[in-house]
Amino acid sequence: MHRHLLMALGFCLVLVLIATPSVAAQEPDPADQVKSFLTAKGYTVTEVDYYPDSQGKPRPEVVYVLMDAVSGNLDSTDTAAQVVLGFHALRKYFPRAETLMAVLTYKKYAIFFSTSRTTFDQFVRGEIRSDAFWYGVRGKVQIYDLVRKAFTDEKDFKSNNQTGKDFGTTPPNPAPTPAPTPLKGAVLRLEPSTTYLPADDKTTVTLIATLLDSNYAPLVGRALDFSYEAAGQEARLLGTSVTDANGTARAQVKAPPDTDSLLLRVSTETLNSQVSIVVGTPVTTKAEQVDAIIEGLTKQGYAEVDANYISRTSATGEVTNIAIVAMRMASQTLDRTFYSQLTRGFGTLRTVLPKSDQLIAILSYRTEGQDWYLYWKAQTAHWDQFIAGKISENDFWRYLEYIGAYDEDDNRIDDKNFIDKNFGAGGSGKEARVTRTLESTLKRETWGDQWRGQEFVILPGSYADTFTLGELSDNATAIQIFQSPEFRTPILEYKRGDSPDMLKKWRLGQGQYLFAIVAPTAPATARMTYVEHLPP
Amino acid sequence: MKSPFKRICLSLTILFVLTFANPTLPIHASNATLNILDSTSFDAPAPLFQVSDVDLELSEVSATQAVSDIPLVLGKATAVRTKLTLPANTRVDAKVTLDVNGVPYERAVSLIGPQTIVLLRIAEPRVLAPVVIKASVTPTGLGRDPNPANNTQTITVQTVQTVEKIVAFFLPVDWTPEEQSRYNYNTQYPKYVQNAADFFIGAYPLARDQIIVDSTMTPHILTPFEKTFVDSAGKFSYRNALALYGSIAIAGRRYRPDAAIVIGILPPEWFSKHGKPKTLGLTLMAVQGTVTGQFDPGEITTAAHEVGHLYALYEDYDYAINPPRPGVEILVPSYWVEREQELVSTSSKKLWTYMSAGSKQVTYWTDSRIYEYLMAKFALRGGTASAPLILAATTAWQVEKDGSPADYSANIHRFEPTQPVYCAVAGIALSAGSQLEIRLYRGNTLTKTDRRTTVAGNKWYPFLLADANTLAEGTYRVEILLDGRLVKSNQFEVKASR
Repeated sequence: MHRHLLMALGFCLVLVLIATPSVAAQEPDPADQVKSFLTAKGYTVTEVDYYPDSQGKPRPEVVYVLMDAVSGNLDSTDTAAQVVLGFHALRKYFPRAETLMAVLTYKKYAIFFSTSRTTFDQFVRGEIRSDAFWYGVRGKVQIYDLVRKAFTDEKDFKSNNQTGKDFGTTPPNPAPTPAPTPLKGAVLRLEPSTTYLPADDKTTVTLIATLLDSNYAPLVGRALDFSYEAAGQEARLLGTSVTDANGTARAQVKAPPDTDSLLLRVSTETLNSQVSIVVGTPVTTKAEQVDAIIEGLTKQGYAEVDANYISRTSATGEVTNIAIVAMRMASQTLDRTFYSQLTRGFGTLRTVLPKSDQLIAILSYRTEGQDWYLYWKAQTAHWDQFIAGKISENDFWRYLEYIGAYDEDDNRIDDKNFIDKNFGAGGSGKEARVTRTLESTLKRETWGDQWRGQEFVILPGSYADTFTLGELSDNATAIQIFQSPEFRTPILEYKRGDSPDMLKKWRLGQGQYLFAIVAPTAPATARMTYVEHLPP
Repeated sequence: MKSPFKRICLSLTILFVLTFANPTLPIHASNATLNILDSTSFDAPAPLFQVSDVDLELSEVSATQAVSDIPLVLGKATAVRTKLTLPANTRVDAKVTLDVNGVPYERAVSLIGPQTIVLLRIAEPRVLAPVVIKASVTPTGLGRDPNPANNTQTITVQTVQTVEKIVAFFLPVDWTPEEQSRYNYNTQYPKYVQNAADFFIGAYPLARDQIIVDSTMTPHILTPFEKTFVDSAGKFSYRNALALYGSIAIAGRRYRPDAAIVIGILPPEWFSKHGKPKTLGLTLMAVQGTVTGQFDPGEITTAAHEVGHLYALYEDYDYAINPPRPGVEILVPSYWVEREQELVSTSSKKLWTYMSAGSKQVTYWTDSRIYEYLMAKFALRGGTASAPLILAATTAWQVEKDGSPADYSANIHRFEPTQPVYCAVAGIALSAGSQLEIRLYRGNTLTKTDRRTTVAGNKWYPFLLADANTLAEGTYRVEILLDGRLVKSNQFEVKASR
């Protein structure tokens, strides 16, 4: 009975997987979180959803993740790692699900691994030994032939492996190397400059690796080893680069011939990080380019990807080429996952649509029963500087333009604090903290009194607090902070004589600001420090 | 998930609207003199002969504050324009008299056939009531008029109370001591500010006390970051541009905290030196109350142009099509009342709207489309009128929630086929229950009608004339009828960019 049930479940699931590409929306959407988690581990996630009952309705007690298999060998550690991480992601983001299923696809087969919540929790707590847990999972594996539309047993599966070479010793997809536990909490990140690499023998992908300590401060002067691995080929070394002042090092690679994906990897002795990208044919028509962008980003695990490319001619005759990508937002907060999604979106647009001047990412999210759209814009010139290492990643983000939010009916949301209200900032306890200094002066120059303020930017997902007045010279009567683009009225003002406790209440969310001294006559100086809390 | 892309075409324009490039035009310099007719100093050819009996005719009378046949703004300088016709090659001494709501005006003139324009300055209207003007002409020489029946006309002009108040502060920006010396700053800069202010005051439909102009001679010097408003690819760096405008806005308000608009005046060639050639002025749509313009003693309209953007006006130049259209010509005589100058476009010296591109070979003024739109903008929120009026019927590709044209969208002459077409109709002092109707024509073919019932008072009535991608390329005319009476008409074109 049990076996029969599993087979029936598997059959229904396969049909659902093939027929319905979309993910049921959740608030927040755990499917996106599972995708992001596993994608960050280097896996290609196709689908995450509740398993349907015989009527096709989702069963909230059974949840599955569908991934491209990293190995054809069901007994390999690569397979075991992929399955266990799949369970882990499902358990983490679908805490109420009772049955967890990791489904690995390889060519014409779908391979089903399942476990119960209780068993997995026992495994995590160490109450069940690893090998015992795996034997249990491995013993219940089901293999479905997508061509014959029937389950097959493992004997046929292995036979097919020998005759059809479906399961050779060379992995069908590069296997991500499980990341060792970071030494002393250090973090090694890797971002590709594109998720779709045209195999045209000239386009390159830049690997941008960032090494941070446990406080998310850059680790400078550290050697990072870069490598890549094409499907079906041996890993190749790209050499070693040393991290710069931002903890960043870069490497580049062109698409090797005869491959459809690349696993890009960076490592130290104790850390590694990897990401898989699509290698595809060169694309020239708009339709091909759009398809390439969709493919590249979808393979990263992003949902509902769409793209467009338009040219606008302004009244001055200036032509601006705009590349646009729309995706379901992978994170419910403006965290590293959010930045990674923007990076991969912008980078893929820039690579696939090389004539673009502006890059726009539209991230949609669902709350209170309706979709919202957040528009973000980057200039290609700034992107290129970032990729070339001329500006840091943080500096690049400080040029990011938040265009605004729109509802489903195309109504622009006027509230300029909409992002902070809906996505908040901080609070997780995980954040990088940087103390920054502001200065505004009124100086007596030969041409008259010269006022000077200071512009500063708080990044999306960040906030500033702990404002402390360092200096307020005698002539100064107040300090003000304006939020761009409203420069007529300050949003914060501290007047001489006000209680310093007032400053403790100041908190600024995402935005561009201007720090200004108020003084009737020169000379006057105001200095202030604040702490910026950056997302980890 | 709805496709968000359809919004891109709209929102992207918003993103780029900050550009006001005012290219130098490829117009050859002519040796023509400025064609400004001043009736009081009209230097006409010597008359061939003077006759004793001449039929003078007062063929046209209109009241004007900048543009004729538009309601008068309370408190704004006003003149009456009369057109007097008589046989060609004749000269007659005559007297033009006016009765303006019972107040007499008179001017002795020497008329030359076939027609002479006489402009008389009158007191600006102060009371919200119709202005009744009775104009007459009588010969004063030896001769007599055999047909005095056509020597008199009476017109009635409605009045509008505007409520906007603009305190404009001119701030010199980034004038180094070297540049001050090179451009004779101490003499030329105040003169430039005065001329720019005069133009602004003359061309905007506001009472004299509703525009206050102030300035300083102390320049505000920018930081390198603020000056880098163009990125390495020649595109706007929005963050830097905002820093630039923030700096100007705050520095300007140090001198004039109540400034509604700070106008940063940059030295000649400043935009070109900082990566944006062919630019004379710039408005960042998101930044309210701050614009920039480049100093040019011969081009005093940049401030008026940029401030127009702050009130949502679109450009009157169009370099997105072939052949380019650098400006919108004003085809009817206009009048700069404060300077008592009539402005006429001629073949040797064109008269363009100030929302056109900049050129030293052109004279600038406002046209009725711009003027009546701004009048509506300044009056609808709290103002009133001496009678129910449709002040404007302004074309736009997007409208605000209150029905007025959205930013950088007002008074569009050419629509892309991919843009929706709106006509925002401004009604003031309307009665409840009137019927407002629009009729859209392509050539003589009526293509659309729509009706609204008015509410009492002031309101923008936005009419969607066409959704995006629904109008064929061509020229269209929209007519506005109030209770069946034609009260406004406007024209626009649908044509794709090159």
